[in-house]
Formats: sequence, C-alpha cells, structure tokens
Amino acid sequence: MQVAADELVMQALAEANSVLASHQQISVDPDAPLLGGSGVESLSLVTLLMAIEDRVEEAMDVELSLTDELAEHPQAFASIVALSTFLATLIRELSVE
Amino acid sequence: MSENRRRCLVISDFNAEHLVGALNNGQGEPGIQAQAAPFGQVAQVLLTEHPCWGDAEKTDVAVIWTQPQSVSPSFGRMLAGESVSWDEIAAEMAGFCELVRGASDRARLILIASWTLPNERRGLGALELHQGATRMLARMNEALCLAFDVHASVCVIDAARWIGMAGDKAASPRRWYAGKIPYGSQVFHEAADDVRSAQRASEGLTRKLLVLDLDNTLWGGGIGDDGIDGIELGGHSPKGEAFADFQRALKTLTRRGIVLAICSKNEESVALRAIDEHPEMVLRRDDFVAWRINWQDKARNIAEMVDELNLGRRSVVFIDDNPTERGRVREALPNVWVPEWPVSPARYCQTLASWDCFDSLQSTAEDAKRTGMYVAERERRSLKAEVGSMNDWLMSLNLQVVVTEFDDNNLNRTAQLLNKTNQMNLSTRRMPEAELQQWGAASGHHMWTFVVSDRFGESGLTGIASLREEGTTGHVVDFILSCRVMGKCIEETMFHWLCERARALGLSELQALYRPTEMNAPCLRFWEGLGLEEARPGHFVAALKEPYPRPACIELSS
Repeated sequence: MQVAADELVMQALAEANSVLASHQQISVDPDAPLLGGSGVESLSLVTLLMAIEDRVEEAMDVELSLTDELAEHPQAFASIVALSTFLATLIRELSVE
Repeated sequence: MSENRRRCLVISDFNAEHLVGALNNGQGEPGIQAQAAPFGQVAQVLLTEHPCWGDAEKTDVAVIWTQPQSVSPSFGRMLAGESVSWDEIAAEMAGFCELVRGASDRARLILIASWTLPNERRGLGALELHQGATRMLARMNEALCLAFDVHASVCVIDAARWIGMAGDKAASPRRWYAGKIPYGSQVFHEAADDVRSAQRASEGLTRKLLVLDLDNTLWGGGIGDDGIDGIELGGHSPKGEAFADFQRALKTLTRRGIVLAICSKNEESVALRAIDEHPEMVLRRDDFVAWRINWQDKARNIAEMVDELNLGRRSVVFIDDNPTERGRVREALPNVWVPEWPVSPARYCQTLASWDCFDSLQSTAEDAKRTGMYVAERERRSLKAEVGSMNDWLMSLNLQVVVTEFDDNNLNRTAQLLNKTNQMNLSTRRMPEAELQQWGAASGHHMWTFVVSDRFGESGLTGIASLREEGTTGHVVDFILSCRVMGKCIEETMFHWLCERARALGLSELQALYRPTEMNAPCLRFWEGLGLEEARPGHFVAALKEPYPRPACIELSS
C-alpha cells in the first residue's frame, strides 16, 4: 500500500507543478517542508491535495477529503514523505471500512 | 530566456493561476511569460491603467476568461430559475464588450474565452435547448463573436473544447470550494495550448505546406505492387472508407489555404495514374502544388520542393506511415514538423483534426484560392523549363503589377500579409489591424499594396511597401513580398515604385534598415543585390538623383 501511495503522491506532485508558476512550485525532495514559514504557498498545497484526491478516487474508488484531514492532522502534511505515509494509512483504513 | 517570451495577462473572475502556470511551464513555441490580474476585478482591470498591464511594452496577449453569470447578472438570475429576457442580457453583454474594446489598445491580441456551463448540468432536461440557459448561452456566445467579428485583434476562443477534452475531469467542485478554481488541470492545459497557438498564428508562424506520402497514407497498400485496382480506397471496407475520409479532410484544409504536396517512393507515372484515374480519389493532381515521386532520399526531396515553393522549412509538416522515413526527415530537416502517425487509418482524420499547427486568426478570400495559385506557379515553372533564358521566361509571363494605396478596402489582407510573411520582410513588424490602420493614417507615413497577376492567373495582394518621411529622407519601413511571387522582378518593381514615390514627395534619399530574423535572409540578399551604398551592414542608402528603372518584364499600373 505504501508503494502505491508513494506513486500516487509523485504523480499528483507532477500534475500540480505542471499548473503552478515557478514561484509556486513544490520541491520533489521528499523531506522538503510543505507547511510553515519555509513551506509552500497555500495555492500550491491546495493544488497538490486536490490532485492527490482525484488520483486516489480514480485509482481506488475511495473518496478522501485531505483538506479536512489537514485541519485535524497538520503534522501528517509536514513533508511529501509524511504525506505519503499518512495517505497509505488513510487508504488502508478506508478500504477496510 | 524570459526576454524572448511573450507577455501575457490573464484576466478572470475566478482563480486562473493554474492557467498562468500551464502557460509558463508549456514547452511549445512561442514561450509565454504569463501573470494573472487580481481575480474578480475584470471590469477594474479593463477600465483602468491597472499596474498589472505593466508600463514598459505593450502586452502581447491578454486572455479574458469569465463566467457568464458574472458578466451578465441577468443570466445568473436565469440560472436561478427566474424569467429573464434576451434584452436584459444583451444590455449587460454590450457593457462587457465596450470594456473589452476600450482595453484593446493595451494588448496586441485579446483572446476572450467563450462562455460555458458545466458538462453535467441538465438544466430543464428535454426542455433545456428550447427554454433553458443553454439556449441563452449559445445566443450570448454568438453575440460575443458578432461584436468582435470586425475587430481583428480580439478573438473569441472556444472554451467548450477545453471542457470537452477534459471530460468528467473538467469541472472540479472541490477546487472551486478550496480555491475558487473551477476546473481540473487538463482544462487549463488545453486552454494554454490554444492561447499559445493563437499567439503563434498572430506572429505568422502557422504551418502552410503539408507533404504527404502515398502508400498507406493516402490509400491502403502499395500502388506499385497492388496496382490501381488493388489499393484500398473508398468502397465499403472500413480501411477504404477511412482513407477516403482522410483525403476529404485534407481537401478541407486546402480550402483554408494550406497547400498539399507529395513525397513518395514510387514510380511517378504509376502513382500519378492512380491519382488521375482511381474513381474514389478525392484529391486529384491539381490539389497538389508539387510532388517528388521517385526513389531518392525523402529528406532531400522535401528540401528541394520547399525551396522550389519559396517556403521556409518551419512552414512544413510531413506525414508518412513509415516510422523510418519519419525518423530520417526529422533528423535531416529539424525545422520540418514530422508528427508521430497512427498505425490504423481509422485514426488518421482524428489525428489531423487535433493539430493546432494550421490555426489562423484570419481568413481571407485569398486563402481558398491558394492551391490554385500554386498550381499556376507549377505551370509557370514548367514553362520556365521550356523557355531558354530567365529573361525570356519572365517576358513570356505577361506579369502585371497593380499598386494601390493602403486603405480600409485592403486592410484585412494587408494585415494578414504583414503578420505572416517571414522571408521577404525587411523589418518583420507584426501588428493588429487597428494599429496598422493608425500607422498608415499618421502624417508622413505612406503605404502601398501590390497586386500581382500573369497569364496563368491572379496571385492577389502579395506585396506591401511603406515609407516614413523624415526631413528629406524616406525611411523604408516595410518591404514585404509573399514567397509565392518572389524571384519574378516584383521586388525590383516595388523598389522602383518606392523610388518614384519618394522622388515625387521631394525626398533626396531612401534608407532601408534590414532587421534580421531567423527567416528573412532572402530579403537581405535582395537589398544587397541592388548595389546600394551601405552606411553600415544592413543599412542601405539609395540616392534618388537618378530613377531606378522598372523591370522591362513588368507592366505596372496604379
């Protein structure tokens, strides 16, 4: 599940960067911060989360609301690697339900 | 890099940052440096010298993308189920169109995205097209196009196609509620491609010549082996029908001014017989402006044909079903566009229809006649081969040039020629009709157009020359000639005309400053060949004491 989540996040990251201007680009470094002062712009984060939601829904027929999760678990969105880990957990939980 | 990019301003009533990103990240030519005006401030940006327009150079292209209910609140009321009249909507639209017209001198090109409704919206169901918002929206888009039909620098582009291409990923309610972004990424990529294509067309970078292979491209099978009765074309087989439809699609292109040529490895007589005599051929010999049907290298054949037609290689597209031939031409002629080509002929029409390389922002009567003009040119070349000297050939053509002052009657075609001619073009100025009209009307500015014909037919308005007076000097601003008539002493006739007019205006000299581009070396060679004094390389000075003679082979009238 983690491999699938990693792949979905990287695909979503590429899609997001394709429509983000140079100053809004998201680093592909898995440890680069997404949140906080050195994190990405809010538009960049929203673009990435929406792209992930679309891809998860398309690939797994699972509907997520990552913006809701962001409010509840901000630490899970600290970096790309943290987000991938969290996404794998979420998908696993939702699949079981 | 950024200094070569075209400046683009995106004006929208929603968050269009993703269009900005898609435009800036796109790899196609020309490069675009886009920025978004603050969203939701469409009227303010159009009305005022808003800082987002920048203060240095004119914006190259502005994209205005709005939702119909924000331009017309009455339409919004209709969406909410209220009864609304067309007059109420039309009045609100007129205000929007006036705003766009007012801003039209701030950008060289303004693109307005047509209005759309979400794909999934059912409205009134079966009654929607009779009484619903969909019918009203079609009327609004029609009125929008009509409002700018005669405004060459403002163009309504088809946003419905972007939405359609993205299918069920077009609308994105999640993006809307999270960031006021109404669409998914694909819609913005499609829009960016169309904006880039429109900009390319406005700069005259449209492809003009489509070179076609024959076997398994225009028909199924090999004419050499299968014979005229054995190739698959027309009839009732799926393949035969697909090839015939592909030929029909190519014929349609010729009516838009795209010309066709053949490059095929075959025996010429056998292939031409099939073209002339196969009952299901849609394209006949006179639909092709040139051909090379032989066993030589295709890259060499194409290069020869392109030179013969006086076109640049950037004007050319080559279609061949054989990947090896495609690879060879791609490698040898990198400026010729050689697209990948589907294996199944069932996909030929679809593939051709999806290309934007032939997009144009203007359509003139000349476009539909272009193939005929090139065919006449082929006959001229054939005569050239028969007649001994160049001079004898030119004399035998009965060339006539009619000079006309630039005015409203020829504005449309003059602007088209100015904006698309690359090779014989002294300054390569590009400008919309309104700007050109302004330039022509300014004091001390003179512009003439040249209509060329000979005993084989009309070549139409194919030349432009203009002068700007400064003291006793006449500066040649434009010296433009279509590649279709180059090399027939029309250039010399235009120069003769400029000298005569300058003398009549009391000027003592003409100066011409050549501005090099990637494609206008033929123009430099012409001016160098006149033997004029060069103040510095590319800066030509002609003293007007003595007249410059009109070529004897030309009959000139005005």
